[in-house]
Parts: sequence; structure tokens; C-alpha cells
Amino acid sequence: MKGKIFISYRRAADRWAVDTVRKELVAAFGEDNVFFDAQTLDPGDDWLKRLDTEISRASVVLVLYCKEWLGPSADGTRRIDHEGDMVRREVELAQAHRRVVIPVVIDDSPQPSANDLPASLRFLLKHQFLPLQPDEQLPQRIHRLVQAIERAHPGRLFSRRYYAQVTWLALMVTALVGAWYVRGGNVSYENAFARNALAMRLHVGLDAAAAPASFGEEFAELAWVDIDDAEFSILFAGQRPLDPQVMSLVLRALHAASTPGSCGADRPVAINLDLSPDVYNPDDPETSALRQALVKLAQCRPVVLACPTSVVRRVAAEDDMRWMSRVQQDANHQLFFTHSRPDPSGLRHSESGDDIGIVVAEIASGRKTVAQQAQQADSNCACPASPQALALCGSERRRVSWDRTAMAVPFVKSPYSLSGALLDMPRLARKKIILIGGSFGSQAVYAVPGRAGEPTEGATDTLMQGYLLHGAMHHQPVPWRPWMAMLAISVSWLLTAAILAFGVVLQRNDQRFARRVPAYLGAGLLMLGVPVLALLAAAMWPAWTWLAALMAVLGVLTMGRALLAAFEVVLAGGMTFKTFPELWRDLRFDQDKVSVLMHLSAAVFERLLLPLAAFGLIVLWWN
Amino acid sequence: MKYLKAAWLGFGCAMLATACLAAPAAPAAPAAPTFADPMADPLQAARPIRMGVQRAALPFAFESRTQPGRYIGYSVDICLQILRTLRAQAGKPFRAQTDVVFVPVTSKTRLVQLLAGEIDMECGSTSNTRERREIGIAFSSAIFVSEVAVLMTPAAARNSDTLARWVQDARERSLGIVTTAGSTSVRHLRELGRSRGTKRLKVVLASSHDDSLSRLLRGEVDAFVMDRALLATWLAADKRLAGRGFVLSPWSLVPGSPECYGIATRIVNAGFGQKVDAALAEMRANGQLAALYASWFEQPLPPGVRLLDLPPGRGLNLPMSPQMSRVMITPSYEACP
Repeated sequence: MKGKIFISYRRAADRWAVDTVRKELVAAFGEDNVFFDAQTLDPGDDWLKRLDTEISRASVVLVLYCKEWLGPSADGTRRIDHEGDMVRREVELAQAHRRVVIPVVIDDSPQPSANDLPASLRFLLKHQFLPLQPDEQLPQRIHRLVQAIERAHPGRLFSRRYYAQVTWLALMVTALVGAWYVRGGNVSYENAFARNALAMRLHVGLDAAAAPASFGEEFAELAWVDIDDAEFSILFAGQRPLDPQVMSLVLRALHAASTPGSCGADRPVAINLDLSPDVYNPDDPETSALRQALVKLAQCRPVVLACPTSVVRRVAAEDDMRWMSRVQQDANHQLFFTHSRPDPSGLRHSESGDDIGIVVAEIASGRKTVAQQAQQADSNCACPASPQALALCGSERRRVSWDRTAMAVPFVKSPYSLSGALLDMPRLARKKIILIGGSFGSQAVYAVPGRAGEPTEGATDTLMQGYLLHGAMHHQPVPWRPWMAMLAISVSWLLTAAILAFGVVLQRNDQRFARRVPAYLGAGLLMLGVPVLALLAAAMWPAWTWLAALMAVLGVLTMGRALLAAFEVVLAGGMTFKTFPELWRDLRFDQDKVSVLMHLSAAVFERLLLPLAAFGLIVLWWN
Repeated sequence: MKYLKAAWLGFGCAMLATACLAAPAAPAAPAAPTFADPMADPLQAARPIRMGVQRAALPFAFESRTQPGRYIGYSVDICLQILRTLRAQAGKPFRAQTDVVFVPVTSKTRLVQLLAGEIDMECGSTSNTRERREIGIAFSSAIFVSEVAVLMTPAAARNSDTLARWVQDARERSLGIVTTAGSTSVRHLRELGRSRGTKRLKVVLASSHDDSLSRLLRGEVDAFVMDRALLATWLAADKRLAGRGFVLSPWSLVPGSPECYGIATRIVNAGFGQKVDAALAEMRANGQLAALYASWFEQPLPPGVRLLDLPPGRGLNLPMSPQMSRVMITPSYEACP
């Protein structure tokens, strides 16, 4: 019974106005929710006790004020001044029970002043009096009254309708998850590495990409050396192109560690680094040391190098091409260059056959020889190694991306750091495939256990276990289990319930939230535009980069707030409480048309959501 | 007789020719592999210790002018003394000719050479830093404390009374600054160049100390940023620098951050590193370290030892700084990074 509307009025008042109010409220809230004494009191009731009960149960007390309300009596005193006056008792009880009081003026009488009212009723003057006369504005005014009551008398926040919505939304989410699972989502391909690994398996059929059985193990046939940030700045002085002298030392160490058993035509080494010298001078001792180290390594096992940036971009590539052809010639074509263009389908390099990782995988699996691969690289213009080849391929400039995904490295982030690899070259040299790459990213690598702490006697023995401390993410297929469905449903249900509840609560606090959405979106767009300009400025004046970053953060926050606002409106406005007739009435009478329109569109969206989801599932299944 | 003489002559010529031809063709003794296993303890392996030494890190490690292939210097002497102690502990005599091999290194390549096993220890002027320790290099306790200073031409020294003024001047006039690749100065210069202002410092990296110095002498650059001890030694001992008004900055490029030299080993050879440190502690305790400092930096050079152009009998005359005195007393000097 909680949540009734109590109508307090003077019997002498205009019946037409009182009846109109009652009728409208009954239409809006139902007969059971409106207490109207003349209709509700039974004969013989203790009316005072009954009033007290009803007011304590009501959440809103409507005080219908009119010129008779103060009530002049025959003896010249006013009825309202009598302590036993029923109207006075009703209002006093409403105040005593802390109910929401809405005063409504039902005729054209002026609002009472403080002198007109006894002290116990003066609190009424703090409330806005709603005028309600029989004129052409009556429907709007009734609508405002209904809205005011709705705000004061919200009913149950989490009604049956709310729970029904949560349930069917959760079922829909679960169905989507299920569809994703059936469509192959049972392998959690979280990143490009894993996708590349899949490509390696599908295209090449090589199982070197298989993940190790447990977290601490190495790959049987694969070693990846990633030059991390610290090594880049300390061992290479943070300079690009990489120092040829240091690089030749690394290659010489690899060659020295290679036993005759670790050489072979199917044991490739991929170096995903731009090793071309800054300025090619065949007599430069450092450049020729690097060339000799490459050539020596190529005598042991095939070497695949990343294409120099200048050749990929076709900008001033002559020097680098001279260097490339010299190295290739000296290495007796057991060495070649490749480059894979970024994959437009978003899988980055895994789809193209000339990805450096795929190329070495094919060589290692024996599917293609080095010569065939080199020829393929030549013919598909991945990396033209001579001016003639370049002339054939055309001088179309290509995008260069130096990121770690340029190399097909499965399941692993950073198994070896360069320093770890140098410390244990013999082990590295035994691997069938060696990938040396530099991400120069921000990822921390912990190749040597305890290197940040104190060295111990046992460090040497445990070193091997440390190479995979950081990497080795497992992406094994997840087999189906019945509890997964239960888990998916309950997690979806809880999430949906929380999101909807959040929207409902926010919405209840501010009906006009929708109005802020356009403002937020506009401000957000403006603030996103500013950082673009700031970034342009930062390109010229690097000292101001921080400002660009700050503006970008603010812009994103504002956009986020706008999206949240829209989200609240869509979820709460559309989904949980209003029916279409209610919304239609809002649209006719409400002054805040923008809010109502957004609510209306949200409601339409809600009705369309289920068919749309079903349609999406069918399309997904069909494809 | 005449024929006999001619025959002898012919025989001699033939023998000489054979010897000349045969010498290069003779199978050379199998050379030791360039890279030893970095994981193996160098003391356990039956091979000489490979000591990485710089050619021109005066007076810490440098090649003797009179005997090419022989390396001398303060750090080299410390390392030799340490190896002598270690051999004595193992009950074996130490022979400098067979028990140690000098491998020339440069600032740029020394860490890679050490990690890859081309050298077992590096004795020179290598600063102990956190970044180096993090990539697997272990350092002994400090053997020397220096700071980063600037050696500049008179023209570049016009506004050099404080660090801030000099840096501003170097930016505004685009002074060329050289430093040796692989040294800590590279990082310091980068941080200094990045910190403020729009004009960047013009920094050139040279491949070795010799290269840096000759660029400065040729006038390609206006200033050479390096550790003060090295710069002071060059200034005192290199006659090419004399009389041209080169100025060594009295301030440090990185105030409050000393460069603490240590003997570099691999962190995985923990046992070797600890023994080196123990032997160094012994030298510190019995005064050998202080004596070596005095003989290289304070006293006149002994007969037969030339420090670049400084003849025997002359000396660097660089008395111990307060920080250096601390290092002589305690193995863990708290100001070291």
C-alpha cells in the first residue's frame, strides 16, 4: 500500500476542480493509489485515526487550495485557525510524517501570505503553488502535476519490469558469447602474436609455434631475441641505425656458438632490424665488419633480414641497395631481405606470405628453399635489392611500421633479452629458428633472474629458467564445459543488472539529463580538436607535448562523460519505466522536448533491440 | 772453391726462400676461440683470463707506446694484482705472460664483449650504473670516483663560469659537443638536451676516446664531454692539447652525481665477481690500492713508463679528492649510484 497519493481539500471547494484532479490522478496512477476521503471513508470510521493511517502510508499529500480553504465560519473566525479543523489536521499530519506536500491552487485566488496561515502551516509557503484553473492550459498543468508527483512518488525503482529486462538482456549477451564461441572464439587470440601463430600453423603447418607445455619452459625449436629499451640505450647508445660494430659482435658471438650441428639450410636466422649503414662506404671498417659477420653466419645458416627502411619507402635507397647487393653477393645468396606490407584486413602481417616470421617458418619446414624465398621476395616487390628490380617494381612509397607484430612470434612476448641471449649463445644457437627483433617498446624484460637484485651463487644454474619469466602466454583452445554456460549467464546477468541499476538511479535523480548530452558531445569534440592542433604544434615545439597530452586526456574524459549521459538516458529513460502512451503525453505537454525525444528514441531502440540481436545472430551464423 | 762458394750461396738462398714461403704456409697454432662460454666461471676454466682493456683511457688502461700489445694503467694494475691474489689463493703462481690475455675494447663495445664472453673482466674507466647492472653486468666496489666534466676550446669557454650559462650558450651558439659512444656521458647529454628549451644540443658520438679527442683537435667540435679524470689526464699529458688554451670546466655536467668506476664482470659469474671484490677489499685494507693511486696520479712516473707525452720522472700531480679518499676507506661509498 505504500506510495499512495493523498488528496486534501475543503468540502466547500469547487467540486468540478476537485473531481478533475482526482480523475486525472486516478488515470495516471490507478484507483488504488489515490486516497480521496469522500470516496474512501466507510461509515462509522474513526476519521481522525483513519486520516493518520492514510497519510502515514501516502508518499505525496496534495493540498488543493482555494478561496474557501481558509474557511470563514459563521462566528467570523476562520476554520483554519481551529485546531480541530480537518484540513488543518491533514496538512499538519503530512508535515509530521515528513510527506511530500504539493499545494495546488484550484481557483484564481491569490497565494496565501504568512499572515493568513497559522504558524503550523506556514511551511506551505516554502513550496511552489501549482495553479490549476479550467482554461486552455489545463492539460499542460495536469501533466506538470503528474510529473511532480512522479518525481516525489517514484514507486519501486527495481520493479518487475526491471528484472525482466535484466534477464532477457543477459540471455542475449550469453547468446552472443555462445555464437562467438562456436565461431572460433574458443581460442583466445588476444593479440597479434597469437594470430600470427595461427597463421603460421595454417599456412605453413609448422609446429615450432606450439606453446610450451608449462609456463617456465622454452620453445623447443624457436628462440626470439628482443632488444629491450634498456639494452637499446646502453648497448646501442640509443642510436639508429644500430651500431654496426656492436651488431657484428652479436652476430659473431652467434656464429662462434654455432656448432656444426646447428648449421643447416633449414635452420634460418631472421633479423628484423634495419642493419643498413647510415652512409654506405665499402671501406668503412665497421660496416665491413658487420658485412663479414653476416656473410659468415650465412655460411652456417640462412639469414633473412628486414628490408632497409629507405628501400621500403623508396627514398634515397641507392646506398642501401649497393650495400644489400654486396652482402647478398658475398653471402652467396644464402641471405636475403624481405618486407611485409601492413595487412589491410587488420591481421597485420600474418596474411601476407612475405612476413619475415612466415618466411623463416617456411624455410625451416623445408617447404621452400632460401633461393625460392629470395626469388619470391624479389618478384612480389617486397624488397627490391637492386636498382633494376626497383625500376621493375616501381617507386610507390610504402608505409613502414616497426612494431613487434611485424614478426610472427607466437604465444610469447619477450623470451630472450639481448643480454640474456649473449650470455647463453650456445643454447640459443641450438634452436632451429632464431628471430632477432627490436621492438624498442616499453615492455620490461627480465631475462636474467636476480639481475635487479643481488647475484647469488646459484644464479648460473637457475638462469635458464628465467628466460620465460615474462613471456609465454598460453592461448590453448578452451574445451566446452556445462558450467561455462551457467557462468556466462550469471556473469552477464549481474553485469546487466549493475549497468541498468546505475542508469536507473542516475536517471531518477535528474529527468532532464538528456539535455546535457549534446552539450557534452560538443565540448568533447571541441576538446578533441584542440589536442590535434596541440599535437601539430608539439611536432614543431616538442617542449609543449605535455600540453597536448593534457588536452587529449580532458577531451577524452568529456567525450566519455557525454557517452555516459547518453547511456543513462537510453538505459533508464527508454528501458525501465515509461510506456509509449506516457511518452506520447510527455511529448505533447512537456517543455523539455529534447529529453522526451531522446527517451522516445531509446524506447524505440529497446523495442527493436531484440529483433536486431536475433537478426545479427542469424547473419553471424550464416557467414 | 769458387763453385763451392756459389753452391753454398745458392743453398743459402734456397733455404731462405723455402723459409720465406713456408712461414706463412706453416699451420699456425690453433688459436683460442674468440668467445668463451659466458656462463662458465673463468677461474674454473683452464685458460687465461681475458682482460678487456681500453687503448686510450688514460691513466686507467692504455697501450704502452714503447711495447705495443702491452697494456698498463691504474685499473690494469689493480686487476693484475687481483688476479695475482686469486692465483695465490688457488695455490698457483701468477705469470702475466700466460695467465692473462689483454683484449682491446672500446667504450662502445665493452659491455657486449663482456656479455658475449669475449672478455671475462673489464678493467678501465667503466662507471657502475643501475642500467648496466640491470642488463647483466656486475661491478666490483668502486676503485675510482670521478664526475662528468667538459673540455672546451677557448672560444667555447667564453660563457663557462657556471653550468647553466654554458649549456645555454652551447644551445644558442649551436656548439658542437663530442662524447664517446657507450659512455655514461651520452645519457647525461641526452637528458640535458631534452630537459628544457627549444634549441637542442648538437651532440656527436665518436667511436672511441681517440676519435673524440682528434675531432676536438681538428676543430670539428667545440667541446668534449667526458669523465674529469680522463680529460685532466689528456690535458696534462697530451702535447697536442698543450698551449692551445683548452679549458676544463670546474663544474660537473651532472652535479651531485659521481661516476664510480668498478671492475666489470658478468652477473652470472657470481662466484668470480665475489672473489674479485674480496681481493679488492684486501688491497684496500693493506694499502695497495692507495699506493697504486699514488703511483699513477700523484708521484712521478717510474722509469720506463710514459703516459702519452709525459716522460718518466714527470707526473700527473692529481691529489686525491675527498670522494676518492672515502673510496679508499670504504667499499660501499653511499654517493655512488
